[in-house]
Amino acid sequence: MASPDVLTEMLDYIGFEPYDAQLLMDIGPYVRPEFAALIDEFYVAIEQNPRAMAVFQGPDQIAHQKTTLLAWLESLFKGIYDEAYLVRRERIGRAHVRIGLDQRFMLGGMNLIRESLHEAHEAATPWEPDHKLEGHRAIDKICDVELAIMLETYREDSDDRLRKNERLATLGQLSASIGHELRNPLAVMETSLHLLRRRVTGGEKTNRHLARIGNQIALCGSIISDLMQLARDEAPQRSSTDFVELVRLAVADLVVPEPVCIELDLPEGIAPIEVDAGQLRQVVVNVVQNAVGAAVLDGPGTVWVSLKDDGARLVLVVEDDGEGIEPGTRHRLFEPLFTTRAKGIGLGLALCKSVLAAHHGEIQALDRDGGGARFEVRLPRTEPTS
Amino acid sequence: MSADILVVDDNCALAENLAEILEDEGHRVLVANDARGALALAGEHRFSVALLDIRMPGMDGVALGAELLARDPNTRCALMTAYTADARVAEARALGLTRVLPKPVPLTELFAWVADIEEPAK
Repeated sequence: MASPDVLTEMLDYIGFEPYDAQLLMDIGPYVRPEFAALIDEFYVAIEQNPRAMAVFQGPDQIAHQKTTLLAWLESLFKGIYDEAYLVRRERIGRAHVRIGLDQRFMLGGMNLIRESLHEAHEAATPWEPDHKLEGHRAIDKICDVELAIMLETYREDSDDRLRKNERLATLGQLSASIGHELRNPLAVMETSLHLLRRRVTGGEKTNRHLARIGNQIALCGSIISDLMQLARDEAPQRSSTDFVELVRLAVADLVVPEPVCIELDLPEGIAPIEVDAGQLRQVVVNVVQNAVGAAVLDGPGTVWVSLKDDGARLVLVVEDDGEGIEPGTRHRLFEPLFTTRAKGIGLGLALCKSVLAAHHGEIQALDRDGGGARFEVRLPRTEPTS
Repeated sequence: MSADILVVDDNCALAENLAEILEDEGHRVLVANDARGALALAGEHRFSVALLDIRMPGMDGVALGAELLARDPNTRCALMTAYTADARVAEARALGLTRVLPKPVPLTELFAWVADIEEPAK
């Protein structure tokens, strides 16, 4: 968080003086009656842009935003620009960052408001031209201060991401080297097991234990593969894959808690697809596991898994009737180490995203009709040649 | 006919295990734990197959493979690595060392490859 010194520094740099504060306070009563119209115009402009609109979750949130914007405009002309003001402004800035509003929309929005305030002041304030011009300058200065605070919160956010990426890079290198070091002993165990199987002519129990060791070695191998894959260590090794079968087996192997029921809707006769079967299996496991985790939270739940082939690509849809995705977290769901769960370290969906990117596909988090979350995985059939 | 196979890995246990498995399959196998030992053996024997770990202290498996090929172009080399995205793998391909086996070594693939060398296409 910025210190009060930052505010003083910003005010000084912009040349905002006590006289400007006084001017704004005097303008306030004249422009205040225009606020309602100004806010309506502002949201009409936003509604024309679907990408700016996308961060708002329906009419309730817009109504709430309108109230917030009114309070913001009110305090803009109060004439008091102290530490508490800075803290409130930063909180508003961080709210914009949190809902994922792109910086350019924030800039565009600030510009719209600035223009409207100038217009309102020009039309409503009954001052002599020179005095009025001073008022326009004061409006520009306070809008510049607001913009500087907003940009500061965006910068804090980008610094946070940078730090996290550095941490991830270290984690990636560590995973890759641990994976490498563990594969050698695993190779020894596996070859020794192979020899043992030939040397030992034991009974059923002995064979069961040998099989168990083999399975666990294979499990260790696949855990290492996941980690190394996330460390971007391994490119997909594509082979012709029966995707329906892959989904069926991946779901069958999941450990699903009692109150959750998985409903599969898998079509017959889908042509094989060229993918890395191991990586895509992990994607299916992670997305379904994520849905099961959401569905189990409040009592009995259902997870629906369906697959469609539209010719050019396969679309896997996984839905649950859990609590759904919180608006503020949607754009962060696929970030590594981001998690809303008590269990799990936030690698599952991040791994999905990186695997799909390597396959030129995509994964999206949406809302399910009737509540809960909906994840769509799209996998193109042909690899772009570029 | 059985192949004369050279297995080189600085992990002694793995080199010995692979040798034992291939011997079980009826091959003659010699083991070295570094490139120097491998080149000494290559001075005394002819190998039709060489299995080489990439990451070894001193000369690595890629350089060793290139050297073995230079001495006897009929030797078929396979590189073994726990690290398939290693930059050395791409360099190895450029040197004509195209066969790369991941670790843990897929034995079925290894057997099939060795069998293929023994019975070259007519």
